[in-house]
Amino acid sequence: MKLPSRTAGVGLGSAVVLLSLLTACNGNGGKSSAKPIPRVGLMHVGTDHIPPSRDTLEARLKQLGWINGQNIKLVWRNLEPDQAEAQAKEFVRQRVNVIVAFEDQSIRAAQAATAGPKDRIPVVFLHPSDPVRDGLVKSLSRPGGNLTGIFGARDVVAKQLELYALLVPNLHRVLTLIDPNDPATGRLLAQYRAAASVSGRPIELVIRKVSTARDLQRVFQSLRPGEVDGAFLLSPILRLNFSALTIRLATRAKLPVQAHRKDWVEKGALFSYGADLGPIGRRAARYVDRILRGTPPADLAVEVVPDVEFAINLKTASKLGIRVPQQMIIRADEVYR
Amino acid sequence: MTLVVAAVVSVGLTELYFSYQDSKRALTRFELDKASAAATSIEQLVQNLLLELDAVAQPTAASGPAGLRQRNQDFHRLLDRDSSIGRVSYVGRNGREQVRTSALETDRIDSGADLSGSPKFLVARSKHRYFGPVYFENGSPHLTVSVAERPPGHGAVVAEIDLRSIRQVIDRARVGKAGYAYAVDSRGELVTHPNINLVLRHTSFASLPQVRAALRGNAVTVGRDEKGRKVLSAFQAINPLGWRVFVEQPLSEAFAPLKSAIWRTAFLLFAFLLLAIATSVLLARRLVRPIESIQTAAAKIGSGSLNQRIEIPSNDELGALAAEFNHMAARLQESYSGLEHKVEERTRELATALTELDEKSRELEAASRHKSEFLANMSHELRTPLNAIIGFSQVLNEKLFGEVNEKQAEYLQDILTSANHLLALINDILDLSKVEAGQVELSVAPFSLREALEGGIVMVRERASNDSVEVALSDTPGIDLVCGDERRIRQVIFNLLSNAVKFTPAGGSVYVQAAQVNGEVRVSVADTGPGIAPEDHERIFEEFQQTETGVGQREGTGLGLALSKRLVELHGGRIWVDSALGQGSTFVFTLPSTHAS
Repeated sequence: MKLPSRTAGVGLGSAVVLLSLLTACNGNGGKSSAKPIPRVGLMHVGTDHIPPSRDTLEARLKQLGWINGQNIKLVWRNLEPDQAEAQAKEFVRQRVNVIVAFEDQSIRAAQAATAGPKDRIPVVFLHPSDPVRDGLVKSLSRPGGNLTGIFGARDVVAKQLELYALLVPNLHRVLTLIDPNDPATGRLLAQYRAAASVSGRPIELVIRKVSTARDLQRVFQSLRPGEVDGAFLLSPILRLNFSALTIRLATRAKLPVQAHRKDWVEKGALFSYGADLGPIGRRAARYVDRILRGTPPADLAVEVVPDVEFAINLKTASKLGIRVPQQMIIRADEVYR
Repeated sequence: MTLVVAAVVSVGLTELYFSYQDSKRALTRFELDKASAAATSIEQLVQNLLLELDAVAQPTAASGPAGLRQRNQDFHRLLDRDSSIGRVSYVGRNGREQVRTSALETDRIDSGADLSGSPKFLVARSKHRYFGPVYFENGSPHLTVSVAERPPGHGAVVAEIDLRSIRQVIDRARVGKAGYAYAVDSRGELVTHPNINLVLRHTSFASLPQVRAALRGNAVTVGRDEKGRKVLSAFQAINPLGWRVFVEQPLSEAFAPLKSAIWRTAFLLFAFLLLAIATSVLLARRLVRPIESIQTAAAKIGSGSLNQRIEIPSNDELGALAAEFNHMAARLQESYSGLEHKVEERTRELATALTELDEKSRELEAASRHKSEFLANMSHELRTPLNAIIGFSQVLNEKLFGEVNEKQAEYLQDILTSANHLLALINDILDLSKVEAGQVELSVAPFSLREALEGGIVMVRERASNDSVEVALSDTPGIDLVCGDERRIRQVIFNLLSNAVKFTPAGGSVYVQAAQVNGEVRVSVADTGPGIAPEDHERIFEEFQQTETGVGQREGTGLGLALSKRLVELHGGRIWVDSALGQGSTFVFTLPSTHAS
């Protein structure tokens, strides 16, 4: 049989057609979903500062592929204490995808605003005092509601007092500023008092109740010289709203003051002992990411970051004539000279 | 082709199977290496921790409260160096806690907490080291590690370790992009996992097949992750802790390179198959098309269009076949047209013959008509002189013109008899010829058959009594009036009766009967005569045909029965005879029942 001779050409031709079909199919991977980009409402009470965790959160989100203004919208609101509730409600009204609440006041506002059965927007909290005790979550491992988040060691007032005593050898009387309206005050005060009692030397606690800037100014004005050896901001709500003012007033009164994080040490506080907020913001980004990708907040366990940071400002110390023991300088994670 | 495809496919599959096995072995080995490395790292970590704890567990230079403060300082330095240690305690020989240093709580000197019954203290003192079970604090997995003090105080240092710190070590062991490493404790509880959420939720992996097997000391290469996806898994035990480190990679990723090989093979296979199919289709086309056109042409030729030809331009066997076929068709057409020509010729000849025949029969018909006309005319013309002969013979016989002698009278009687016979003959011929010439017209009317029969009997009775023949008419119940030409029917009846009387010897009888049979009227005339041989049954109804008996009688014209037959048939009836020699004869004729009323 004489075979036809054009078959090879035809076979090759069909293979080429097939190949082009395959590549065409592969090339059509782009999705054209017109889904609105997710919005995340971030709220914080305390207009005199921005928590460092906010920037690290945003930076980490970017690493995770959420770029603000591109595929995510981060709505940042720094608030006065009385604005928190309204802002939380506003976020709920706008139906943001996630609310990120920094510190107790905004967390409480966000929790209240999302309590309604139709308003259960996920809330990621950062730096709560105690999420289980404050009823934010059922348990750390199984939050169970629409709130979850992350927190680190903070308001370790007992440890701060211990360190205060070690740093300032002449510390005998401490002006302790509390706001009775802050629900955390009672608990912290108890720890604080216990610490004072086990200290190596007797420390007298001069407790003053303040709620406003004016109260604070009045307390400092009313101090007699030598009445106290140092100041201590105990209630979280006070350090949130009046850290800058307290440092200013204490400096003027030639008194050392403790802080809960190193930023304030840089600004003149004698020392700080507390969580480093930057890493907490970074880790909080994971919660926002997971929630935006569909994991219910109830399934995201609360993480506790136990790391603490010890910072000392030697400049402040020398101005106040305090000789910081060498072994304390060695223990410090950060020393401002 | 199937064979080729099967061979190619099986070679491809075998190749794939072996590369699958090879990849799996290589990947598992790689993972195992990683797991071993991770386990070693963790062991190293633990070793370092033990060294650190050993260092702070050395007896202090000072004793009493100064010694405890010294320990506190040492512990602080330890906590600063290693952030995974949350709390360190020194427990004295009596099991009471003497120093507690923590990053978050206030330091306690001489807290007096009782640890004398705790394995943290007892095991450390007896075995020098103690590793507690994994426990959760603040949502995070922790581990208690204790080491014993070198003799002087012979207490123990107890440290609480936050296990999240080992995550980095384990994470380094991950394989590929989607691979991951994790560790479980001796109960299968998750100690560390890249997904911190799983750890924080106190997840147990004891139900995963590879973990279950590993806790029993067996290895399972393909396991499942917490979501049920298949993973390639390898594990290594961490000796002092009783933990297992797993390094896993989703099968989908592990075999991704293999997958691309599969795709490549599949694509090549597919391409070759396509090529083969295209080739065979093309071949089939080149074969089938011509065959189809040959088939179509054959069918057309079969149905008669012989001028059909096949157009196949190729020079191959099919082209030759088509040429042969065309040749055959041409030959067929040729023979067919020759045949057609011959048929045409024969048909023409046949037509000519038919025309001739037609002409001849027309001539014959005309001749027959001429004969009948001639006979009719002749009879008529013969009767005229015959009437004169009979008339004058009768006048002479009746002696109206004088006496005749005996001899003359005898001859006159002969003349008269012969003349009457001739007249009868001529009358019969006339009648017959009239019938044949179609000149007889029946005057049909109802008449009494019985009367006609009786009339006939009366006419023959004289002769019958002369010959001593009895003539009888049976009852004809239900038959009286029939339709027909009475004169002609009477003629037929008379004919049959006279024949019967004539041929019946003396002492015989003639029996007449009429009956209604099968819707027709049947008249029979039976005699006891000599009978008629069966071979003569037909003949006697023809003109001038008589039986030998008849001829012997020298009577009759041989036209009576022929005439009767014609007349009965003119009425639409039939006439026949039932007879045999020596048995007598029965002549029967019928008249259609429509004539009865």
